[in-house]
Amino acid sequence: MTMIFGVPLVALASQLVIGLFNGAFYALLSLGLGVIFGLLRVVNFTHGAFYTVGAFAAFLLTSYAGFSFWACLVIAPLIVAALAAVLERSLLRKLYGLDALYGLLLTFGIALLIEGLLQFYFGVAGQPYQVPALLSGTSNLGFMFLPHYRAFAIAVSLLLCLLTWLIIEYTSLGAKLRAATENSRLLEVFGVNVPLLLTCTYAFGGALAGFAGVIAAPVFQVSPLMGANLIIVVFAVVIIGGLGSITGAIVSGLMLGTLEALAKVYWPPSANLVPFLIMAVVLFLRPRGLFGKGE
Amino acid sequence: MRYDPLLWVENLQGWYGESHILHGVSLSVPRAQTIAILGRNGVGKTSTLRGIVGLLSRATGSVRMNGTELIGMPRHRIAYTGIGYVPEERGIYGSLSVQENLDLLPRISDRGMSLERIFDLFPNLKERRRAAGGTLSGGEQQMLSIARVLRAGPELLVLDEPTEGLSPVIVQHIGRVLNALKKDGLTMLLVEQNFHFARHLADHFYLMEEGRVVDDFAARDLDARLDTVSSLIGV
Repeated sequence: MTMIFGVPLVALASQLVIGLFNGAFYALLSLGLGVIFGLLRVVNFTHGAFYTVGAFAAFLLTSYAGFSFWACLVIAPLIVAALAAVLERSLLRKLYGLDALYGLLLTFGIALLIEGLLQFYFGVAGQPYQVPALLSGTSNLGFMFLPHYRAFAIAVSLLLCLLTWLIIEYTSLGAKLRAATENSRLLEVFGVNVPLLLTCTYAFGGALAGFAGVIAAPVFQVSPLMGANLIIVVFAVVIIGGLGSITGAIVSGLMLGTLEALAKVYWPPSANLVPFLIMAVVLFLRPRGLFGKGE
Repeated sequence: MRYDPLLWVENLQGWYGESHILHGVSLSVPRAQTIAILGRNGVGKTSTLRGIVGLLSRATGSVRMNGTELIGMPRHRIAYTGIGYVPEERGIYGSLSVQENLDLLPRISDRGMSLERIFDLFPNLKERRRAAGGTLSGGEQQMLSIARVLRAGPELLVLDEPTEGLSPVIVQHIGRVLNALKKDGLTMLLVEQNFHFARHLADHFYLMEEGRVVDDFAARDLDARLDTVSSLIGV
Protein backbone atom coordinates (compact mmCIF):
# COMPACT_ATOMS: atom_id res chain seq x y z
CA MET A 1 0.00 0.00 0.00
CA THR A 2 1.30 3.46 -0.91
CA MET A 3 1.97 5.59 2.14
CA ILE A 4 2.46 9.35 2.27
CA PHE A 5 4.09 10.61 5.45
CA GLY A 6 2.88 7.50 7.21
CA VAL A 7 -0.72 7.77 5.98
CA PRO A 8 -2.18 5.39 3.38
CA LEU A 9 -2.77 7.17 0.03
CA VAL A 10 -6.38 5.94 -0.02
CA ALA A 11 -7.16 7.58 3.29
CA LEU A 12 -5.35 10.75 2.34
CA ALA A 13 -7.11 11.03 -1.03
CA SER A 14 -10.55 10.44 0.50
CA GLN A 15 -9.90 13.07 3.12
CA LEU A 16 -8.81 15.50 0.41
CA VAL A 17 -12.08 14.97 -1.43
CA ILE A 18 -13.97 15.63 1.80
CA GLY A 19 -11.80 18.69 2.31
CA LEU A 20 -12.53 20.04 -1.18
CA PHE A 21 -16.21 19.27 -0.63
CA ASN A 22 -16.26 21.31 2.59
CA GLY A 23 -14.12 23.93 0.91
CA ALA A 24 -16.70 24.30 -1.85
CA PHE A 25 -19.30 25.20 0.81
CA TYR A 26 -16.93 27.64 2.43
CA ALA A 27 -16.30 29.22 -0.96
CA LEU A 28 -20.00 29.53 -1.89
CA LEU A 29 -20.92 30.97 1.49
CA SER A 30 -17.97 33.31 1.89
CA LEU A 31 -18.43 34.54 -1.68
CA GLY A 32 -21.98 35.64 -0.85
CA LEU A 33 -20.92 37.11 2.48
CA GLY A 34 -18.06 38.98 0.81
CA VAL A 35 -20.18 40.43 -1.99
CA ILE A 36 -22.84 41.53 0.51
CA PHE A 37 -20.29 43.10 2.83
CA GLY A 38 -18.51 44.84 -0.05
CA LEU A 39 -21.64 46.55 -1.28
CA LEU A 40 -24.00 46.85 1.69
CA ARG A 41 -21.34 47.13 4.42
CA VAL A 42 -23.43 44.66 6.39
CA VAL A 43 -21.84 41.74 8.23
CA ASN A 44 -24.60 39.34 7.32
CA PHE A 45 -25.11 36.97 10.24
CA THR A 46 -28.30 35.73 8.56
CA HIS A 47 -26.09 33.95 6.02
CA GLY A 48 -25.97 30.69 7.97
CA ALA A 49 -29.74 30.78 8.31
CA PHE A 50 -30.08 31.29 4.53
CA TYR A 51 -28.04 28.12 4.07
CA THR A 52 -30.31 26.29 6.52
CA VAL A 53 -33.45 27.63 4.84
CA GLY A 54 -32.11 26.41 1.49
CA ALA A 55 -31.67 22.91 2.88
CA PHE A 56 -35.11 22.93 4.55
CA ALA A 57 -36.77 24.27 1.40
CA ALA A 58 -35.28 21.33 -0.52
CA PHE A 59 -36.33 18.88 2.20
CA LEU A 60 -39.92 20.21 2.29
CA LEU A 61 -40.27 20.50 -1.48
CA THR A 62 -39.12 16.91 -1.92
CA SER A 63 -40.89 15.28 1.03
CA TYR A 64 -44.24 17.07 0.74
CA ALA A 65 -44.52 18.20 -2.86
CA GLY A 66 -42.53 15.49 -4.60
CA PHE A 67 -40.05 17.80 -6.30
CA SER A 68 -36.82 16.19 -7.52
CA PHE A 69 -33.41 17.18 -6.19
CA TRP A 70 -32.71 18.89 -9.50
CA ALA A 71 -35.83 21.04 -9.28
CA CYS A 72 -34.93 21.93 -5.69
CA LEU A 73 -31.48 22.99 -6.82
CA VAL A 74 -33.20 25.78 -8.76
CA ILE A 75 -36.30 26.50 -6.67
CA ALA A 76 -34.81 26.52 -3.16
CA PRO A 77 -32.22 29.25 -3.94
CA LEU A 78 -35.01 31.32 -5.50
CA ILE A 79 -37.07 30.95 -2.31
CA VAL A 80 -34.09 32.08 -0.22
CA ALA A 81 -33.47 34.97 -2.64
CA ALA A 82 -37.09 36.11 -2.24
CA LEU A 83 -36.82 35.88 1.55
CA ALA A 84 -33.58 37.87 1.47
CA ALA A 85 -35.09 40.51 -0.83
CA VAL A 86 -38.03 40.99 1.53
CA LEU A 87 -35.72 41.28 4.55
CA GLU A 88 -33.53 43.82 2.76
CA ARG A 89 -36.44 45.97 1.59
CA SER A 90 -38.37 45.89 4.85
CA LEU A 91 -35.68 45.94 7.56
CA LEU A 92 -32.04 46.06 6.51
CA ARG A 93 -32.54 49.08 4.25
CA LYS A 94 -33.46 51.26 7.21
CA LEU A 95 -30.02 50.71 8.75
CA TYR A 96 -27.83 51.93 5.87
CA GLY A 97 -25.80 54.91 6.91
CA LEU A 98 -25.77 53.81 10.55
CA ASP A 99 -22.88 52.07 12.27
CA ALA A 100 -22.24 48.57 10.86
CA LEU A 101 -22.99 47.18 14.32
CA TYR A 102 -26.73 47.74 13.80
CA GLY A 103 -26.80 45.62 10.66
CA LEU A 104 -24.86 42.91 12.45
CA LEU A 105 -27.31 42.90 15.36
CA LEU A 106 -30.35 42.86 13.07
CA THR A 107 -29.08 40.02 10.90
CA PHE A 108 -28.00 38.05 13.98
CA GLY A 109 -31.49 38.50 15.43
CA ILE A 110 -33.14 37.38 12.20
CA ALA A 111 -30.88 34.31 12.13
CA LEU A 112 -31.92 33.37 15.69
CA LEU A 113 -35.56 33.90 14.74
CA ILE A 114 -35.35 31.68 11.66
CA GLU A 115 -33.43 28.96 13.48
CA GLY A 116 -35.85 29.15 16.42
CA LEU A 117 -38.85 28.76 14.14
CA LEU A 118 -37.31 25.78 12.38
CA GLN A 119 -36.50 24.16 15.74
CA PHE A 120 -40.03 24.77 16.92
CA TYR A 121 -41.54 22.99 13.92
CA PHE A 122 -38.93 20.33 13.18
CA GLY A 123 -37.02 19.78 16.42
CA VAL A 124 -33.25 19.65 16.60
CA ALA A 125 -32.91 16.17 15.14
CA GLY A 126 -31.73 16.09 11.52
CA GLN A 127 -34.00 15.11 8.65
CA PRO A 128 -32.57 12.74 6.06
CA TYR A 129 -32.42 13.69 2.37
CA GLN A 130 -31.75 11.17 -0.39
CA VAL A 131 -28.82 11.51 -2.75
CA PRO A 132 -30.36 11.70 -6.25
CA ALA A 133 -30.27 8.31 -7.96
CA LEU A 134 -28.18 9.61 -10.85
CA LEU A 135 -25.38 10.57 -8.49
CA SER A 136 -25.42 7.71 -6.01
CA GLY A 137 -22.54 5.27 -6.06
CA THR A 138 -18.80 5.67 -6.35
CA SER A 139 -16.11 5.23 -8.95
CA ASN A 140 -12.95 3.28 -8.32
CA LEU A 141 -10.10 5.51 -9.41
CA GLY A 142 -7.49 2.91 -8.55
CA PHE A 143 -5.97 4.83 -5.66
CA MET A 144 -9.33 5.72 -4.07
CA PHE A 145 -13.12 5.49 -4.31
CA LEU A 146 -14.67 8.73 -5.48
CA PRO A 147 -18.30 9.26 -4.39
CA HIS A 148 -20.17 10.64 -7.42
CA TYR A 149 -22.27 13.02 -5.40
CA ARG A 150 -19.28 14.69 -3.77
CA ALA A 151 -17.52 15.05 -7.10
CA PHE A 152 -20.66 16.64 -8.53
CA ALA A 153 -21.03 18.98 -5.55
CA ILE A 154 -17.43 20.18 -5.82
CA ALA A 155 -17.72 20.72 -9.58
CA VAL A 156 -21.03 22.55 -9.54
CA SER A 157 -20.03 24.78 -6.61
CA LEU A 158 -16.79 25.77 -8.28
CA LEU A 159 -18.64 26.41 -11.52
CA LEU A 160 -21.03 28.72 -9.71
CA CYS A 161 -18.15 30.55 -8.02
CA LEU A 162 -16.41 30.93 -11.37
CA LEU A 163 -19.59 32.21 -12.99
CA THR A 164 -20.09 34.77 -10.22
CA TRP A 165 -16.50 35.90 -10.56
CA LEU A 166 -16.86 36.29 -14.34
CA ILE A 167 -20.04 38.33 -13.94
CA ILE A 168 -18.46 40.64 -11.38
CA GLU A 169 -15.20 41.13 -13.28
CA TYR A 170 -16.33 41.18 -16.90
CA THR A 171 -19.91 42.39 -17.31
CA SER A 172 -21.35 45.88 -17.16
CA LEU A 173 -23.54 44.77 -14.25
CA GLY A 174 -20.37 43.67 -12.47
CA ALA A 175 -18.74 47.03 -13.21
CA LYS A 176 -21.74 48.81 -11.65
CA LEU A 177 -21.42 46.54 -8.63
CA ARG A 178 -17.73 47.32 -8.21
CA ALA A 179 -18.39 51.03 -8.72
CA ALA A 180 -21.18 50.98 -6.12
CA THR A 181 -18.75 49.33 -3.70
CA GLU A 182 -16.42 52.32 -4.15
CA ASN A 183 -18.90 55.22 -4.17
CA SER A 184 -22.57 54.37 -4.37
CA ARG A 185 -23.98 57.89 -3.88
CA LEU A 186 -22.21 59.22 -6.95
CA LEU A 187 -23.31 56.18 -8.95
CA GLU A 188 -26.90 57.06 -8.04
CA VAL A 189 -26.38 60.61 -9.30
CA PHE A 190 -25.27 59.07 -12.60
CA GLY A 191 -28.67 57.38 -12.86
CA VAL A 192 -27.96 53.86 -11.60
CA ASN A 193 -30.72 52.46 -9.43
CA VAL A 194 -28.47 51.63 -6.48
CA PRO A 195 -31.28 50.69 -4.05
CA LEU A 196 -32.37 48.00 -6.51
CA LEU A 197 -28.76 46.90 -6.95
CA LEU A 198 -28.46 46.49 -3.17
CA THR A 199 -31.62 44.38 -2.97
CA CYS A 200 -30.47 42.18 -5.85
CA THR A 201 -27.02 41.74 -4.33
CA TYR A 202 -28.42 40.71 -0.97
CA ALA A 203 -30.86 38.34 -2.67
CA PHE A 204 -28.07 36.89 -4.83
CA GLY A 205 -25.81 36.33 -1.81
CA GLY A 206 -28.75 34.63 -0.10
CA ALA A 207 -29.37 32.47 -3.17
CA LEU A 208 -25.74 31.27 -3.16
CA ALA A 209 -26.14 30.27 0.50
CA GLY A 210 -29.45 28.59 -0.28
CA PHE A 211 -27.82 26.70 -3.13
CA ALA A 212 -25.09 25.50 -0.77
CA GLY A 213 -27.83 24.38 1.60
CA VAL A 214 -29.46 22.21 -1.06
CA ILE A 215 -26.10 20.69 -2.00
CA ALA A 216 -25.45 19.99 1.68
CA ALA A 217 -28.82 18.34 2.33
CA PRO A 218 -27.97 14.82 1.05
CA VAL A 219 -24.62 14.66 2.85
CA PHE A 220 -25.23 16.36 6.18
CA GLN A 221 -28.63 15.99 7.73
CA VAL A 222 -31.11 18.80 7.34
CA SER A 223 -31.20 20.40 10.77
CA PRO A 224 -32.08 23.88 12.10
CA LEU A 225 -28.57 24.50 13.39
CA MET A 226 -26.59 23.31 10.37
CA GLY A 227 -25.96 26.89 9.28
CA ALA A 228 -25.07 28.25 12.70
CA ASN A 229 -22.33 25.62 13.02
CA LEU A 230 -20.87 26.44 9.64
CA ILE A 231 -21.07 30.22 9.59
CA ILE A 232 -18.35 30.84 12.19
CA VAL A 233 -15.78 29.05 10.02
CA VAL A 234 -17.08 30.94 6.99
CA PHE A 235 -16.39 34.24 8.72
CA ALA A 236 -12.84 33.05 9.30
CA VAL A 237 -12.63 32.23 5.57
CA VAL A 238 -13.81 35.72 4.62
CA ILE A 239 -11.23 37.31 6.88
CA ILE A 240 -8.43 35.07 5.62
CA GLY A 241 -9.32 35.79 1.99
CA GLY A 242 -9.64 39.52 2.57
CA LEU A 243 -12.94 41.35 3.10
CA GLY A 244 -14.59 42.16 -0.19
CA SER A 245 -12.23 40.08 -2.34
CA ILE A 246 -14.04 37.65 -4.62
CA THR A 247 -10.93 35.67 -5.52
CA GLY A 248 -9.95 35.65 -1.86
CA ALA A 249 -13.26 34.13 -0.81
CA ILE A 250 -13.04 31.33 -3.37
CA VAL A 251 -9.37 30.48 -2.95
CA SER A 252 -9.30 30.66 0.83
CA GLY A 253 -12.55 28.66 1.05
CA LEU A 254 -11.05 25.76 -0.88
CA MET A 255 -7.71 26.10 0.85
CA LEU A 256 -9.24 26.02 4.31
CA GLY A 257 -11.39 23.00 3.52
CA THR A 258 -8.34 21.14 2.26
CA LEU A 259 -6.12 22.12 5.18
CA GLU A 260 -8.83 21.09 7.63
CA ALA A 261 -8.99 17.69 5.94
CA LEU A 262 -5.22 17.27 6.05
CA ALA A 263 -5.27 18.19 9.73
CA LYS A 264 -7.86 15.46 10.29
CA VAL A 265 -5.48 12.92 8.76
CA TYR A 266 -2.29 13.96 10.47
CA TRP A 267 -3.42 15.35 13.80
CA PRO A 268 -7.19 14.96 14.27
CA PRO A 269 -7.55 17.03 17.45
CA SER A 270 -6.28 20.12 15.63
CA ALA A 271 -8.80 19.97 12.77
CA ASN A 272 -11.38 22.27 14.33
CA LEU A 273 -8.72 24.74 15.33
CA VAL A 274 -7.08 25.01 11.91
CA PRO A 275 -9.33 27.75 10.43
CA PHE A 276 -8.82 29.99 13.44
CA LEU A 277 -5.09 29.35 13.69
CA ILE A 278 -4.73 30.30 10.03
CA MET A 279 -6.92 33.34 10.59
CA ALA A 280 -4.73 34.46 13.48
CA VAL A 281 -1.55 34.02 11.45
CA VAL A 282 -3.02 35.84 8.43
CA LEU A 283 -4.31 38.70 10.58
CA PHE A 284 -0.87 38.99 12.12
CA LEU A 285 1.06 38.97 8.84
CA ARG A 286 -1.47 40.52 6.44
CA PRO A 287 -4.19 42.32 8.38
CA ARG A 288 -6.23 42.90 5.20
CA GLY A 289 -6.28 39.19 4.34
CA LEU A 290 -4.47 37.25 1.64
CA PHE A 291 -6.22 39.01 -1.27
CA GLY A 292 -7.41 42.14 0.50
CA LYS A 293 -6.75 45.56 -0.93
CA GLY A 294 -6.14 48.67 1.10
CA GLU A 295 -9.01 51.10 1.51
CA MET B 1 -41.67 84.97 -25.72
CA ARG B 2 -41.92 83.32 -22.30
CA TYR B 3 -38.56 82.94 -20.52
CA ASP B 4 -38.05 79.23 -20.27
CA PRO B 5 -34.72 78.28 -18.65
CA LEU B 6 -33.42 74.73 -18.74
CA LEU B 7 -32.63 74.75 -15.02
CA TRP B 8 -34.46 76.92 -12.53
CA VAL B 9 -33.36 77.06 -8.89
CA GLU B 10 -35.52 78.97 -6.46
CA ASN B 11 -34.87 79.59 -2.77
CA LEU B 12 -32.72 76.45 -2.40
CA GLN B 13 -31.96 75.79 1.25
CA GLY B 14 -29.51 73.03 2.03
CA TRP B 15 -28.10 71.11 4.98
CA TYR B 16 -25.19 68.78 5.64
CA GLY B 17 -26.39 66.85 8.66
CA GLU B 18 -27.28 69.55 11.18
CA SER B 19 -25.45 72.46 9.58
CA HIS B 20 -27.48 74.80 7.42
CA ILE B 21 -25.24 75.73 4.49
CA LEU B 22 -27.47 77.13 1.74
CA HIS B 23 -29.73 80.00 2.69
CA GLY B 24 -32.00 80.46 -0.28
CA VAL B 25 -30.05 80.22 -3.53
CA SER B 26 -31.92 81.31 -6.64
CA LEU B 27 -30.52 81.14 -10.15
CA SER B 28 -31.50 80.11 -13.62
CA VAL B 29 -29.60 78.49 -16.46
CA PRO B 30 -30.95 79.37 -19.94
CA ARG B 31 -30.64 76.79 -22.71
CA ALA B 32 -27.34 76.66 -24.63
CA GLN B 33 -25.71 79.12 -22.24
CA THR B 34 -22.85 78.70 -19.80
CA ILE B 35 -23.40 80.00 -16.30
CA ALA B 36 -20.56 80.37 -13.81
CA ILE B 37 -20.91 80.65 -10.05
CA LEU B 38 -18.11 82.65 -8.44
CA GLY B 39 -17.24 83.18 -4.82
CA ARG B 40 -14.68 82.50 -2.16
CA ASN B 41 -14.02 79.10 -0.63
CA GLY B 42 -16.80 77.83 1.58
CA VAL B 43 -19.60 80.16 0.43
CA GLY B 44 -21.74 77.27 -0.83
CA LYS B 45 -20.85 76.99 -4.53
CA THR B 46 -20.13 73.26 -4.43
CA SER B 47 -23.09 72.73 -2.10
CA THR B 48 -25.38 74.44 -4.60
CA LEU B 49 -24.32 71.95 -7.29
CA ARG B 50 -24.65 69.06 -4.85
CA GLY B 51 -28.10 70.31 -3.94
CA ILE B 52 -29.10 70.29 -7.60
CA VAL B 53 -28.00 66.67 -8.16
CA GLY B 54 -29.45 65.43 -4.87
CA LEU B 55 -26.31 64.97 -2.80
CA LEU B 56 -27.18 67.09 0.23
CA SER B 57 -28.58 65.36 3.28
CA ARG B 58 -31.57 67.73 3.20
CA ALA B 59 -32.75 70.36 0.76
CA THR B 60 -35.86 72.52 0.46
CA GLY B 61 -37.01 75.06 -2.08
CA SER B 62 -37.32 74.28 -5.74
CA VAL B 63 -34.99 72.91 -8.40
CA ARG B 64 -36.70 72.45 -11.74
CA MET B 65 -35.05 70.86 -14.74
CA ASN B 66 -37.07 71.20 -17.92
CA GLY B 67 -40.02 71.97 -15.67
CA THR B 68 -39.63 68.79 -13.58
CA GLU B 69 -39.16 69.28 -9.82
CA LEU B 70 -36.00 67.54 -8.58
CA ILE B 71 -36.35 68.16 -4.83
CA GLY B 72 -37.73 64.97 -3.34
CA MET B 73 -37.09 62.93 -6.47
CA PRO B 74 -35.20 59.62 -5.87
CA ARG B 75 -31.53 60.37 -6.49
CA HIS B 76 -31.09 57.80 -9.25
CA ARG B 77 -33.83 59.39 -11.36
CA ILE B 78 -32.39 62.90 -11.38
CA ALA B 79 -29.85 62.12 -14.15
CA TYR B 80 -32.70 61.15 -16.46
CA THR B 81 -34.01 64.73 -16.46
CA GLY B 82 -30.85 65.47 -18.48
CA ILE B 83 -28.18 66.37 -15.91
CA GLY B 84 -24.56 65.23 -16.18
CA TYR B 85 -22.52 65.83 -13.04
CA VAL B 86 -18.73 66.26 -12.93
CA PRO B 87 -17.88 66.36 -9.22
CA GLU B 88 -15.09 68.36 -7.66
CA GLU B 89 -13.27 65.23 -6.49
CA ARG B 90 -13.76 63.83 -10.05
CA GLY B 91 -15.27 60.61 -8.73
CA ILE B 92 -13.23 58.25 -10.88
CA TYR B 93 -13.78 54.63 -9.90
CA GLY B 94 -10.23 53.52 -9.20
CA SER B 95 -10.82 49.77 -9.44
CA LEU B 96 -12.54 50.10 -12.82
CA SER B 97 -10.58 50.52 -16.03
CA VAL B 98 -10.84 53.73 -18.06
CA GLN B 99 -13.04 51.88 -20.55
CA GLU B 100 -15.30 50.60 -17.75
CA ASN B 101 -15.58 54.10 -16.33
CA LEU B 102 -16.59 55.33 -19.78
CA ASP B 103 -19.23 52.62 -20.15
CA LEU B 104 -20.50 52.89 -16.58
CA LEU B 105 -23.22 55.51 -16.88
CA PRO B 106 -26.64 54.57 -18.22
CA ARG B 107 -27.53 56.41 -21.45
CA ILE B 108 -30.01 59.09 -20.48
CA SER B 109 -30.73 60.30 -24.02
CA ASP B 110 -29.76 59.67 -27.63
CA ARG B 111 -27.37 62.65 -27.43
CA GLY B 112 -24.79 60.34 -25.86
CA MET B 113 -21.38 60.89 -27.46
CA SER B 114 -19.72 58.09 -29.42
CA LEU B 115 -16.42 56.66 -28.23
CA GLU B 116 -14.78 57.98 -31.42
CA ARG B 117 -15.81 61.55 -30.59
CA ILE B 118 -14.73 61.10 -26.95
CA PHE B 119 -11.27 59.87 -27.98
CA ASP B 120 -11.13 62.69 -30.50
CA LEU B 121 -11.64 65.21 -27.70
CA PHE B 122 -9.40 63.37 -25.23
CA PRO B 123 -6.71 61.38 -27.08
CA ASN B 124 -4.97 60.54 -23.79
CA LEU B 125 -7.92 58.45 -22.70
CA LYS B 126 -7.67 56.28 -25.80
CA GLU B 127 -4.08 55.36 -25.00
CA ARG B 128 -4.97 54.58 -21.42
CA ARG B 129 -8.30 52.83 -21.93
CA ARG B 130 -7.12 49.62 -20.28
CA ALA B 131 -5.48 51.32 -17.31
CA ALA B 132 -7.19 51.27 -13.93
CA GLY B 133 -8.92 54.56 -13.13
CA GLY B 134 -6.89 54.83 -9.95
CA THR B 135 -3.61 55.02 -11.86
CA LEU B 136 -4.53 58.09 -13.92
CA SER B 137 -2.94 61.50 -13.37
CA GLY B 138 -5.11 64.32 -12.06
CA GLY B 139 -5.56 65.75 -15.55
CA GLU B 140 -6.49 62.40 -17.05
CA GLN B 141 -8.98 61.81 -14.24
CA GLN B 142 -10.62 65.16 -14.95
CA MET B 143 -10.86 64.34 -18.66
CA LEU B 144 -12.35 60.95 -17.86
CA SER B 145 -14.82 62.51 -15.45
CA ILE B 146 -16.06 64.87 -18.18
CA ALA B 147 -15.89 62.23 -20.92
CA ARG B 148 -18.01 59.64 -19.15
CA VAL B 149 -20.93 62.00 -18.49
CA LEU B 150 -20.79 63.11 -22.13
CA ARG B 151 -21.25 59.43 -23.06
CA ALA B 152 -24.53 59.44 -21.12
CA GLY B 153 -25.91 62.31 -23.21
CA PRO B 154 -26.85 65.11 -20.78
CA GLU B 155 -28.59 68.34 -21.78
CA LEU B 156 -26.96 70.20 -18.88
CA LEU B 157 -23.38 69.71 -17.78
CA VAL B 158 -22.80 70.55 -14.12
CA LEU B 159 -19.07 71.09 -13.56
CA ASP B 160 -17.50 71.59 -10.16
CA GLU B 161 -14.02 73.18 -10.35
CA PRO B 162 -12.93 71.45 -13.56
CA THR B 163 -9.48 73.06 -13.49
CA GLU B 164 -8.62 72.66 -9.80
CA GLY B 165 -5.05 71.51 -9.27
CA LEU B 166 -4.28 70.96 -12.96
CA SER B 167 -1.30 72.14 -14.99
CA PRO B 168 -1.80 75.09 -17.40
CA VAL B 169 -1.54 72.82 -20.45
CA ILE B 170 -4.34 70.59 -19.20
CA VAL B 171 -6.43 73.60 -18.19
CA GLN B 172 -6.10 74.91 -21.76
CA HIS B 173 -7.09 71.55 -23.17
CA ILE B 174 -10.17 71.34 -20.97
CA GLY B 175 -11.04 74.94 -21.86
CA ARG B 176 -10.90 74.08 -25.58
CA VAL B 177 -13.13 71.05 -25.07
CA LEU B 178 -15.71 72.96 -23.06
CA ASN B 179 -15.74 75.74 -25.66
CA ALA B 180 -16.34 73.19 -28.40
CA LEU B 181 -19.19 71.68 -26.42
CA LYS B 182 -20.64 75.13 -25.90
CA LYS B 183 -20.55 75.78 -29.64
CA ASP B 184 -22.47 72.51 -30.09
CA GLY B 185 -25.22 73.98 -27.93
CA LEU B 186 -24.59 72.16 -24.65
CA THR B 187 -25.81 74.04 -21.57
CA MET B 188 -23.34 74.31 -18.70
CA LEU B 189 -23.39 75.31 -15.06
CA LEU B 190 -19.91 75.83 -13.74
CA VAL B 191 -18.33 76.47 -10.38
CA GLU B 192 -14.81 77.78 -10.79
CA GLN B 193 -12.13 79.33 -8.61
CA ASN B 194 -10.03 80.11 -11.68
CA PHE B 195 -11.68 83.37 -12.65
CA HIS B 196 -9.71 83.75 -15.86
CA PHE B 197 -10.86 80.33 -17.00
CA ALA B 198 -14.47 81.14 -16.22
CA ARG B 199 -14.50 84.53 -17.96
CA HIS B 200 -13.54 82.98 -21.30
CA LEU B 201 -16.38 80.50 -21.08
CA ALA B 202 -19.39 81.94 -19.25
CA ASP B 203 -22.27 84.02 -20.63
CA HIS B 204 -23.57 84.97 -17.22
CA PHE B 205 -22.13 85.08 -13.70
CA TYR B 206 -23.58 84.60 -10.24
CA LEU B 207 -21.70 85.75 -7.16
CA MET B 208 -22.22 83.89 -3.90
CA GLU B 209 -21.51 84.81 -0.31
CA GLU B 210 -22.47 82.96 2.87
CA GLY B 211 -24.82 80.51 1.24
CA ARG B 212 -26.72 83.01 -0.93
CA VAL B 213 -26.48 84.64 -4.34
CA VAL B 214 -25.50 88.28 -3.79
CA ASP B 215 -25.18 89.49 -7.37
CA ASP B 216 -25.48 88.38 -10.97
CA PHE B 217 -24.61 89.97 -14.27
CA ALA B 218 -24.06 89.18 -17.94
CA ALA B 219 -20.58 88.57 -19.33
CA ARG B 220 -20.70 91.83 -21.32
CA ASP B 221 -21.07 93.75 -18.03
CA LEU B 222 -18.11 92.00 -16.47
CA ASP B 223 -15.56 94.70 -17.18
CA ALA B 224 -17.68 97.35 -15.47
CA ARG B 225 -17.99 95.08 -12.43
CA LEU B 226 -14.41 93.92 -12.27
CA ASP B 227 -13.65 95.86 -9.08
CA THR B 228 -16.59 94.47 -7.09
CA VAL B 229 -15.93 90.98 -8.40
CA SER B 230 -12.27 91.24 -7.46
CA SER B 231 -13.02 92.41 -3.98
CA LEU B 232 -15.59 89.66 -3.49
CA ILE B 233 -13.61 86.71 -4.74
CA GLY B 234 -10.15 88.09 -4.21
CA VAL B 235 -8.58 87.73 -7.64
